[in-house]
Amino acid sequence: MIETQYIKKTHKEIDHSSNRLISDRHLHKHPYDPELLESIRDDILKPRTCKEFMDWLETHPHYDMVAEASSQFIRGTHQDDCFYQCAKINTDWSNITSRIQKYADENQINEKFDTNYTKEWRVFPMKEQKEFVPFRHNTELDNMRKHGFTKQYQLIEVTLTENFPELKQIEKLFDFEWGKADINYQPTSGQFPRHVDFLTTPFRRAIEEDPKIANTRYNPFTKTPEGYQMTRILIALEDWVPGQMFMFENYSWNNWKAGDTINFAWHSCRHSTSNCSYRPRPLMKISGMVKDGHWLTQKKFKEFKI
Amino acid sequence: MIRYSELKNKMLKDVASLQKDDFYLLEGKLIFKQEQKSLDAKKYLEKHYGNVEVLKANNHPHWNSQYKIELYFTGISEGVQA
Repeated sequence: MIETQYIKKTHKEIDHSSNRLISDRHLHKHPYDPELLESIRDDILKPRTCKEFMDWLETHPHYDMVAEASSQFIRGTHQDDCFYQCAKINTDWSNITSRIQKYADENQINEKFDTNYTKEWRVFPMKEQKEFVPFRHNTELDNMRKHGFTKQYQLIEVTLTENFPELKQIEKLFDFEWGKADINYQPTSGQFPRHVDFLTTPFRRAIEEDPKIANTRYNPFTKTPEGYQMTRILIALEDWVPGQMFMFENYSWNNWKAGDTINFAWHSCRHSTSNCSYRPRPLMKISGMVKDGHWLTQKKFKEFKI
Repeated sequence: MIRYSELKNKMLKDVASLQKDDFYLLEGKLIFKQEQKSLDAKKYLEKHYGNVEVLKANNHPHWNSQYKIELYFTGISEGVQA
């Protein structure tokens, strides 16, 4: 069988109006109609290849509802099935975080804090992002903004720059395929409302670069090509301070220490963050793919020293 | 982790009174149109998975149907699947 190879889109080639509604009056209201969610969920479960699914998702006019319908979470699920500590990384965190702070000061990340549409989403200039075209669906942002969530968090690029070589070294510890690391920097007053993910930025890159993955059956429960696990881990870069909130459904992650690393059910558990402290909250998030059998798929814990 | 769609398929197979359009998923809770059907479901879920809490459903003008009851689990053991 000949595998179909797809054309990679650059940021310039993406039609940013294609999935945009003319006004937020056309967005569905919260709480979403359970019947409508069920019909979207049935559609999500239809058999598709990864490429077919990505095309369906990208052009869907109501991504916000698709995301909600894609969650299969049942309340009462055990906390360890929502998130768990998968690693501890011991290194000189104060040196790293002081450089993050310097970078934030130089780029006025705290002062110019307003989460807008895709072009303004990342701190690192978009023109350099040839290999990693970020995915942000407009209806999701429109929906969040409609409810007042205009200051969410800032993403500081790690993988594509040489600004934070130690963090790139840490990224390599986890052996991700199609990996992508960013500092998820949440200035004070930032709030990201509850949502579930699709990890579409690394997923789309894998589809565009690897025809085998593009043509592999999509698993709508794990939101991953069959045989793989798309994974997202979060590494605390500073110790937790009171007021910094991170919720996974009805569970809270707090009291973290720099180097604590969690793995979580990003595909099912609605998660949300808020920074009501008086300190910025830097986390590193690494997203990518691992094959079934990788230690991160087996709820194992590892400690690293760098 | 229990997945809603798998749990629902199992419930439809095992609980004779339940039909596909009797209940749905809303923010992690099962939401039922009829109280009697929610009682049948509760009995089944408690037998197989653990304690189930019952709430009176909130209804909203932008929804297509009316609902009576919401059910949710209070403590499912780690790793349990439908």
